[in-house]
Amino acid sequence: MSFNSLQYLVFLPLTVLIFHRLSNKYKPYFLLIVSYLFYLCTHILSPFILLFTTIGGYFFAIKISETISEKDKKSLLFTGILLNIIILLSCREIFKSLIPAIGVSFFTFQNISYLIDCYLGIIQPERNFLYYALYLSFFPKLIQGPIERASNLIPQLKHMKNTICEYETLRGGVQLFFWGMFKKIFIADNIAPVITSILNDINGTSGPVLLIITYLYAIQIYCDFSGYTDMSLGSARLFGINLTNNFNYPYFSPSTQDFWRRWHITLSGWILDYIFKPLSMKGRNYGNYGVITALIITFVICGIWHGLTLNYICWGLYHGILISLSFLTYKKWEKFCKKYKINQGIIYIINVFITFNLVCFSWLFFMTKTLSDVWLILSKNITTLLNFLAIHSFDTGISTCFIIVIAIFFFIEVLQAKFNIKAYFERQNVFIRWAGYYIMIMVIILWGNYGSKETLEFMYFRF
Amino acid sequence: MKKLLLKSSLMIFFITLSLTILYFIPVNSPNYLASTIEKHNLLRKTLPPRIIFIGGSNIAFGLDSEMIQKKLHYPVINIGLYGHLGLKFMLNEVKPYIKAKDILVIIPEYEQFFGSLCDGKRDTLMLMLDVNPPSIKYFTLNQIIRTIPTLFNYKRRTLVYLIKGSVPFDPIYCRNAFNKNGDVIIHLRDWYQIDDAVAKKLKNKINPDKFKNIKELKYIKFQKQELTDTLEKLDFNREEIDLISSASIIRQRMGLPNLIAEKLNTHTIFLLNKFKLYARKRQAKVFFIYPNYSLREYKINKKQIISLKKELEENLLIEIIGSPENYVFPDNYFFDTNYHLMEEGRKIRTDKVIEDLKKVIN
Amino acid sequence: MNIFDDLNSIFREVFDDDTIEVNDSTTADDVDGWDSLSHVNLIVTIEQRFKIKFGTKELLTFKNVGDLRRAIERKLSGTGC
Repeated sequence: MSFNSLQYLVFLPLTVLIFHRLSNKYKPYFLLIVSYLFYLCTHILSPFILLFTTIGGYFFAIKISETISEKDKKSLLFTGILLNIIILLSCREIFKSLIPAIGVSFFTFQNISYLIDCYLGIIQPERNFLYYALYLSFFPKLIQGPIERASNLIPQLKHMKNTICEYETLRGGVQLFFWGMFKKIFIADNIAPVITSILNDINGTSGPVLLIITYLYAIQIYCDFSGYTDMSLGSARLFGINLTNNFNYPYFSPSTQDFWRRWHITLSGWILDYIFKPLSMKGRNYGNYGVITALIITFVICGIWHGLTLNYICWGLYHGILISLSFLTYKKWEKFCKKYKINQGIIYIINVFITFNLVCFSWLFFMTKTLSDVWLILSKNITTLLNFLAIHSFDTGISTCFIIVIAIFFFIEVLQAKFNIKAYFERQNVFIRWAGYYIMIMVIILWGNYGSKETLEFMYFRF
Repeated sequence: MKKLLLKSSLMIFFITLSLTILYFIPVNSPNYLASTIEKHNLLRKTLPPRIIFIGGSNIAFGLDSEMIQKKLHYPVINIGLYGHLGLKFMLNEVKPYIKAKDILVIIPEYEQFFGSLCDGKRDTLMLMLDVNPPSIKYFTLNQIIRTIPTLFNYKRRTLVYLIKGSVPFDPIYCRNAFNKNGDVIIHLRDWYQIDDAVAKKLKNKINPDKFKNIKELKYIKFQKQELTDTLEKLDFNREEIDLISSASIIRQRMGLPNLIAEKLNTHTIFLLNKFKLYARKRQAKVFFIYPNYSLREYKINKKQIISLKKELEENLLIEIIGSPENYVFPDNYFFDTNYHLMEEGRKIRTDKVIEDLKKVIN
Repeated sequence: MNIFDDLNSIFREVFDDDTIEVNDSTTADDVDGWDSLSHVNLIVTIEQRFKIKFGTKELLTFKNVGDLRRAIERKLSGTGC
């Protein structure tokens, strides 16, 4: 049951209604059952994998905290982590034809983070199995994240009993949900078929079209994933739960380092805390080399998390190298700008422009299946740019009208990032607000791309 | 919670209301099925006694109604459109128009008797609703329920073109493909269907004006000699040129179910019998004729067709004229499916229908 | 000897900002440029200045300057690991 499916539009309100009717005692039980039912919809075996992972994490964490000897603690931790990696790998790579491992990478990563946090003593292991199981399975974040930390989610689940959901909270949830739906169904899914059809025939597509597609893909992947996240956060809010935001206007980042603080925040936070930090601390006496090695290893692992293919590995490698370069040169670039007194705004725009292009290039690894395709598109893009966009055919299958709509969308994003236009909108009178909601929903219904099988999936389901 | 519920219900009400209004605004669609509006106008305006042909695309693409009208001296209406609408719908849409002394000739595709095609395909029915909302009155309750999940798919399509930039327009399957009796005539001359591999080769190499359907490159319009010359210039080999210009590549473009794979469905016969009783009450005559069929497909499906023939002869209340074999034609008479005839085949088929009808009418 | 004086001078040096004042509740969010990359540099500088060595596990548990200060004090007084 995908967030953009009709079933979910029935499932979610129904669940919310029942949830708020229940007495506090039963709320967590109800959510747990509903979450498992939700997961059952993906595959009959899926809930068992989830349950197995949950039990493993629960007992290992308690065992780790009860063990006194540091050595035993460590070996318990490693066994626990290994168990998760085995589950992840067997679902994702070995038995992938048997079990569609939707969501496995997300909950195993949360399980690992929980174990490590318990080992480090940052959190105490959860003794109540109910809350731990709900932490891993809470359905708004089960399938595609955000990758929540136990320290954020478990206390909220425990306080669920005391929260009285106010109108403002619920309204915020509904708004966020539909805003995400708008991004997914209207923007991302209208771009999707165009890109798919062009990728089927890269050789026969002209350079300018490929160049446009390169950028469109960046927009698609952002709207798809951040749209999903908004729907996820919106759904959770209807139960009075605040999940971590995954996106913070990543395409306005002035550096690749910054990009990774704003794109898929929970994943980058995870790899930063649990992979990069230990590695960089171990290598802290080797100066910049240590940092760079740690960065590259971290990002290659981040690439592998998306899938065990050469494309994803190269994508990780690329980002690792990019961040290393940015790490090495950022200070010099800043000094350069200070020395020649270049206007701050211009610097910002130049930085954002460079970062955005570097990131768009990295998406080529995501977009295509083989490295030769990446190379093909890249070389065609470069020739196009060298020929100053020699116009022969610009027919991408997307009208100027839609391009303008996308531009408007990003303009709204800028306004939201800089001036919080949402708050401004909410101060308007009821007619304007309702007109806004009405237009948005009608646009989703009339111009959205839904109903066909291909569009039903979110791109990050694969991971 | 209550406040939210109240407000969302109000919003849902507004949205539903606007969608309902929007739904019933008819669009002037260029779609092939939209020609149903013209066909129903014909049924409404033509005075009885008339000959009405009921069936799918085999009669749309294979009958010369003008010729029949000339030879039999009755006004002829061909309401055949598309097999996927299902025989149930086709019969229902004619019922209200039946008048005394009308002659109703039913020529369904064989597939209507196998599997569940006679109930219609969901997407096609939906498209029908989209181009002509009032046609919902010819739907059975079951058909309405079945089409609800895809409601708006097609209405939306017309709007989605604003995003996609252009309306995909099929030069053959379009509303103005028909003559005034309701026969498709647009395909009769100088249209060649090309397959994907050829289309790829032709793309970028040929003057785009020569293609009607640039986006999909399905048909190419040329005088035969001109086409051969062009292809030669483009280094196509002899074999490929023959293949393209003979236009006899028969394939299941419509994706009709294979007869062999499906089971005989006696419900269709029941429907036909019910229709016969209805027509009799209104003092109209009903006849059944077998559809035209390509020789290749006939060979493959012979067993099924013979068993169907036996079943019909035993149980059908409608008078059957002619035999299946009589309407089997060589493959090169066909256009793009094994039911759609080109000019030569269409003429022979029409003559045979006239012969058959002469036996029973006068 | 006040550890905070030393820490302030280290922070000012590492993050290139003479206005930094740290206290126990200061976190990475409060200091411009304190990210996981510069953090490495910070730790190395602290270790050199105080002539101590942190354990890897210890390093991963620092949430704020307070944690850091307590760890330094433990090291200097020779207790703990």
